[in-house]
Amino acid sequence: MPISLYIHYPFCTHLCHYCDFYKIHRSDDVEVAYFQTLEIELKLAWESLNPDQRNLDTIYIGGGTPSLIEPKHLDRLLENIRKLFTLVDNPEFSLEINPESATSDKLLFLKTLGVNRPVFGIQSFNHRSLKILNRTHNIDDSFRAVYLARAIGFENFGIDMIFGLPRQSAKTLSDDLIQLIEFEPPHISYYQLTVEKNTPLAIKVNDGKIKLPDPDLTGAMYRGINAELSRQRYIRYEISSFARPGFECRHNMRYWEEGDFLGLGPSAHSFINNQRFANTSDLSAYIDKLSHGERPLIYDYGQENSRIHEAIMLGLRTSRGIGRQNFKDRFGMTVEQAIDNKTLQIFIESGFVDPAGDRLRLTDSAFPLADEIIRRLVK
Amino acid sequence: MIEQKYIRNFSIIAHIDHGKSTLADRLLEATSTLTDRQMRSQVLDDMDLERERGITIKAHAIRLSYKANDEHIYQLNLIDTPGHVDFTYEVSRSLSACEGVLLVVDASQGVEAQTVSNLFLALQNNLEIIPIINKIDLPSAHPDDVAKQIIDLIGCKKEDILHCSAKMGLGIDELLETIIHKISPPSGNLGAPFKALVFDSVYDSYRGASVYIKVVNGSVQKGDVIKFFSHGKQFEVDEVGCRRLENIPTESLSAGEVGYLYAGIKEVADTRVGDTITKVHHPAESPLPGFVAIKPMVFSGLYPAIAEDYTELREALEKLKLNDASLSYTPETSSALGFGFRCGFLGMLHMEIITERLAREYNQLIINTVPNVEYLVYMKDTSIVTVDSPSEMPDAGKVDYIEEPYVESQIITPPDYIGSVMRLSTDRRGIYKNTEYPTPARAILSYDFPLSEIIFDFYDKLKSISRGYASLDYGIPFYQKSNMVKLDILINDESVDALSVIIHREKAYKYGASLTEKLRTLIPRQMFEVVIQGAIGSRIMARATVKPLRKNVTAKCYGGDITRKRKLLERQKEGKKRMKQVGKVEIPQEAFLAALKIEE
Repeated sequence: MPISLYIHYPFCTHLCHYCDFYKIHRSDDVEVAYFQTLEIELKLAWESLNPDQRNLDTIYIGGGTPSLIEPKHLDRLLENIRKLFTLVDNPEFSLEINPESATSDKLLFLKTLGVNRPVFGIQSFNHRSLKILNRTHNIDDSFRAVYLARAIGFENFGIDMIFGLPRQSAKTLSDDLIQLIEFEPPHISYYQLTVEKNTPLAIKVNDGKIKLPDPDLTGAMYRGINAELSRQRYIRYEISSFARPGFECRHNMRYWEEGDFLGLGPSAHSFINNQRFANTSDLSAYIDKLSHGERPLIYDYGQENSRIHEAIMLGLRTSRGIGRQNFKDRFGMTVEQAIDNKTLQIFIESGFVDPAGDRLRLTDSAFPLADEIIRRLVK
Repeated sequence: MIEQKYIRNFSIIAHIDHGKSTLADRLLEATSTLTDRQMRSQVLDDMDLERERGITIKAHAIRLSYKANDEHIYQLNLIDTPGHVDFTYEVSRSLSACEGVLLVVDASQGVEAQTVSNLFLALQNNLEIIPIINKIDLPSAHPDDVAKQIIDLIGCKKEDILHCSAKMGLGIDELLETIIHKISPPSGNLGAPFKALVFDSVYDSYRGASVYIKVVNGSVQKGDVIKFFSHGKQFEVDEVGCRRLENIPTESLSAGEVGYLYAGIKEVADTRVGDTITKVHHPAESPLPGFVAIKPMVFSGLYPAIAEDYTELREALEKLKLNDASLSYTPETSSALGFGFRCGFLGMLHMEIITERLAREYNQLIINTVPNVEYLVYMKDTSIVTVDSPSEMPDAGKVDYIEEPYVESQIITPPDYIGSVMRLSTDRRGIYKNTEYPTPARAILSYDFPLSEIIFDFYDKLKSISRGYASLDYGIPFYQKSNMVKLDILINDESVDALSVIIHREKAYKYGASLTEKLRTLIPRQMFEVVIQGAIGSRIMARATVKPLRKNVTAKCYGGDITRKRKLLERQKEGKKRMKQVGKVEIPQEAFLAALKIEE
């Protein structure tokens, strides 16, 4: 079975206030050291795989700001990947791009390299919102990026958006949606702004300098986004992922359906042979360990039922839901046996859960409450 | 065998923090009773909890050997007493084992209500009182004022009052001589049938109960078969002795002596404080006076925070009961909290101690329901029902009237705080009796209070309105007619039994309003509207609603980091175990605890 490859590029020139992914300020020297180490890691990881896992069908380069990567490094990285792994026909190859760095040269280079799914971190079309998030791009950058993507001929591309922004109202959200729909991106990720601990945003929120819209309003926003995108023929195939038919992100689906994926680079996560592990979230430790031929892995052994919890949590995030047969094959019990049945009955009666057929899934009305429902179902 | 004239049995009466334990330590040092290694500060308090709270909960007796100035060796038995209002009866029994008491008063704090009440107990037992002003080394000491208070209180002469600083070791030698000269020796009859007073017992998991006794007449030794007057059970004595820090076995215990005995007694419940022991052969004819089977005054439901811990909780209570005869419990079920126990306590401190011991020694986290006193419900069919839990309250239509326990109480306060104390007392439905001014610095206010109004947080309130100066003491309850009602809390129309209370009608509205409001903030938003109501019978007094949850989804879940989100879910899952289910509504533990902290 082919697997997925994620590469974490941990550098930014500018740090956004809400982001809690592992990243540091970029410099040429450190970037060189990072790519040298990544090469070692790629080789070691490859050695640890079974021969049938040495096939890739999706690659995703995220960060950080991967659109900052020096072309020569990226070129060499891809060369190495191709040397070791077999790419299936028509692989999905995504790379995250900040709108301000989307020049035609850059996009053309990425296309020749094989990237076939650029993902633009546009987040909002509202100038003030971008400022609050401490994004460096402006609205013109976003227009240019999407225009170029089309002009250069990327059939598939994604736009990442955020709602629930400080001071966002129903009006400014709907402005964002109108603009987004005009672009007709094949794929949209529409995340709610999450205030992560220890980010500059969290500090401002705690100090009362920034006020987020209340849960009732964000609930209405989420429902509004769903309704509008569905009118525009987008399918919500996961809580925050929308796609035109056939453009669902295969890489992300692998996470949710618990296929094997290999993550490289500091803080990258992997799931291989039913085992979860992650790299250290510290670039110097990462470089240090690997330069001694050792992978800087932290294993997540979980508790007794962790794999079951994950299967429920991830399965119910997707519109398809949890496949009954697959669940039974993996865990030797039915989904119903693995969850709190009394609660399940209440949810079925209330119309939140649809148990019919070969999959157990949340109904449309349940999606805004998915976390609450999952929490209550888990045993 | 020591002659009675060389025995002195005494106790120390002091308010918390007035230096009783330190004084006891100094006496032990001065008589070389303990080696330095054994000497810990406040050795008499041997439970951690006691040491932390600075309160002696369980009384002990320690034997000191003192060579007096007259060159004779005296046996001094220091009988320690509990220092809290919850334990008045135990104090009275310990005192009845003595011939004298040391009345210790803090040189800066002066006489407090607790001290006065224990002093009355000592006077009732005809004990010699040796007044001592302690902490004379403190800069804030005003020994002359305190001396005047003491003179007013016991009618002694100024020169009878000893001055000492237990902390600095001042005045200790003089004190020991005074004990020898002023306290009378015991006057038992060695030839009469054996008769001894039980004034305490402690459970030992290997040997059974260790019973602390004062031998009044006759003597006892290993092999004697004894029996208890109250229940008639018989046991064979397998060891007698006295206590220093450890037990020291002796040949026998004879008239006038204080010590311990083991007789393979499996439950401390068989060794009630105040009971009399005699021998099966040649028994004494009558028991010593003053035995009362003590009754719990405060009742509360104890439920495991996590339902699965029920069995462990039961085992823990069984073990606690072994060395705490005053704890009672019976199984009880609550529709909201599941299986638990209705427990009876001597008072709130006792309840707190048990709850804390369950947590510390047995790792049991529990939910307490609102404590209740015991009500007498007079039914229209002329029967009388005793009710110590709201769930037992009969249907209002069948009830003629209800009586609630009242206590006579004294509050001692500096005159500056009389106004605040009176406001607080009125608020707690106190019935004012009179005010006395034994000294210009102290007023004694007498009130009759409903017990339910003062067991809760009255003492803390009293302390805070008087900057710690006012003190409270109260007696044994009596019953009086009262307008009590049962206030129910309904959540989505289902009554939550664990949140019901029995309350005075005039207070019900305010209590209901603040509890429903508090619950509104504590019950998290659910997937539907939650209506919280306070009701008396079918009449709704208060209402609050928790709006339904409209959205709960943290949208971000990518980058393959499944671990973090799963761990969050698993933490929530653990949290869910602590949630109680009422109908479809999940109620967190805090909501039940909130009911304990409602400001009326």
